[in-house]
Amino acid sequence: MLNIIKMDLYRMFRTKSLYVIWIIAAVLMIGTTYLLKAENTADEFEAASQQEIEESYTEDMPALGIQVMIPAGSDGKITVKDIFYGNAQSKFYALFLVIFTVIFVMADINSGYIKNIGGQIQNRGYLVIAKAISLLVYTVLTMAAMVLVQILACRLTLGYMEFGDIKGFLVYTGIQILLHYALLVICMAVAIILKSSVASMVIAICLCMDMMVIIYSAIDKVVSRMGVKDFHLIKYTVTGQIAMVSQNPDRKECLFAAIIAAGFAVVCMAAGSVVFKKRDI
Amino acid sequence: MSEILLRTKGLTKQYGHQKAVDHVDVHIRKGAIYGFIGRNGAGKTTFLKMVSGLAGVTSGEIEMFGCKGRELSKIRSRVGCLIESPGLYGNMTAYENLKIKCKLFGIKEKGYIEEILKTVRLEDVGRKKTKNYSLGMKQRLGIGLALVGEPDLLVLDEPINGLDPQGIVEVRDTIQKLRDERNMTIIISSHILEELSKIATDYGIIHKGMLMQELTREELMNRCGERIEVTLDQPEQALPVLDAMGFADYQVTDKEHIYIFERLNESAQLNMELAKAGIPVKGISITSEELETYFLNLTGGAKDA
Repeated sequence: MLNIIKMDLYRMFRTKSLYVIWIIAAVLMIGTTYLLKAENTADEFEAASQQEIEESYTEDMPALGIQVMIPAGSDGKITVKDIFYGNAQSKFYALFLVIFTVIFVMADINSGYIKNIGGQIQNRGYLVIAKAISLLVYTVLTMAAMVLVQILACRLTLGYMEFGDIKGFLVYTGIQILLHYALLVICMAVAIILKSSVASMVIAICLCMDMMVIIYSAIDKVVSRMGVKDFHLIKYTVTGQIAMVSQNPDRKECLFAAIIAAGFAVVCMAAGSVVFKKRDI
Repeated sequence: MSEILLRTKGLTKQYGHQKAVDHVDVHIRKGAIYGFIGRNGAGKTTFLKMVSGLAGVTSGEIEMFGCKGRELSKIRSRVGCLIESPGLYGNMTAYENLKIKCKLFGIKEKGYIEEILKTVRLEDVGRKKTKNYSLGMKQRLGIGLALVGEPDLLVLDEPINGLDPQGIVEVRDTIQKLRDERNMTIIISSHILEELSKIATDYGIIHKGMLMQELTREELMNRCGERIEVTLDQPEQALPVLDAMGFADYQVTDKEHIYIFERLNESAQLNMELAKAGIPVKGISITSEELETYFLNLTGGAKDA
């Protein structure tokens, strides 16, 4: 198992798209931070309140697409934590993460390399578990890189770097890493089950763009007709939690998000593993 | 007879109602180069995928290295394979492609990858990405990948398909070198029979998912050599006569022909016995044929091709 993980990590760091995606994400982050400064200077920037952001996700039909809302800083200054929060909850990071996930997961299937190794492993399901573990490394590294780029972007464009509440930032980042990782495992399972890069990529991007809320809303309405009031399926989804976890989550909120993330990750990892083991290569 | 390294019993693979491989029993000797012959769609690749662990078995049994059933998972690493086209990461070099598989096997030995590159004659490719390789180079790298982990059984599916004459010679030489230097057992499927006949020591002929015949090179050469060819309207009527005369090595090839591969000097006596039994014989002659013709006759003639 350790050898399979080493193999996948070696392959991951030899994949050009990993670096291309990181570079594009970094450039966009620097660009958006610069825009923040421009808006702020022109007195046009109005930071969203925490309540506003949360409300946008509890309405029956939240807005589709990516919309970055930066919460107001306590002293009017934008902190790294604020921008990280805005980018994470809007699924800006998730978008880049899922694109690479689909490319990485499908690479050995699309190239046919899997035929060189698939028959020589005692349990083919281990290949999927190893991919999932590699994706955890990728998630942590990407999030860490994004924070570093954000620090750099603040220094370069805003002229200052306020980190914000470090403890709160670490808790929030930890929860977001877990939720983002769960999203990647979902995308991995979808790619393995569908065996199609295009379909998997479309689904992955739709998840990040909140396109699934159309389905969630329909289910909510059906549940409402059955007599269950105030039910919002989105609260029990990984993408919903990514958007709804507050900037300073309490213990209960953290636990709930962690359960959702762990539940989806375990179920999707198991499903992908079983399907891949049973299916002919 | 040498030790049997791979044996299948009633091996079957079914997709829906279609049987791609139908109750195939093969026996592959240790150290043999087993030529697996069959037309496109005969079931060669499916059979080889099952042997390589890439496809599940619908029914039947595979016994390899003395292991069968669940025990097979323990010896899977001893089977290297190149199934269909070589699966390579196009944006990586040959070295990197091999390195990935070495990581899987935990191989850290210095010079190991260089040695494999040398074996498959790709030692001079440098940093060239595999997407820029010729088909022959890709096939050889595919064989190289199959060699990682020192397998005892090498499964090669159509390794010379689409290659130019030079490429064919290179792959053939590589296969022969592996057998001679590493005493590997090799299963190689192809429908280019003349090429296969240059290296194979044993043959299995598969047609419509069923194994038609399994024979050694000597047996095949004998069969492709001289034989008595009897032409008559109802071959089955002649079988009791053949049995009574003690002929054992014969074959009814179609609705009009029987081939007898032994006692070629008794054709006149056979003709007389058939006449005595009241069986009209249209023709009786001693003939020989090419490997390709033998294969076509065995699998229903050129009309089905």
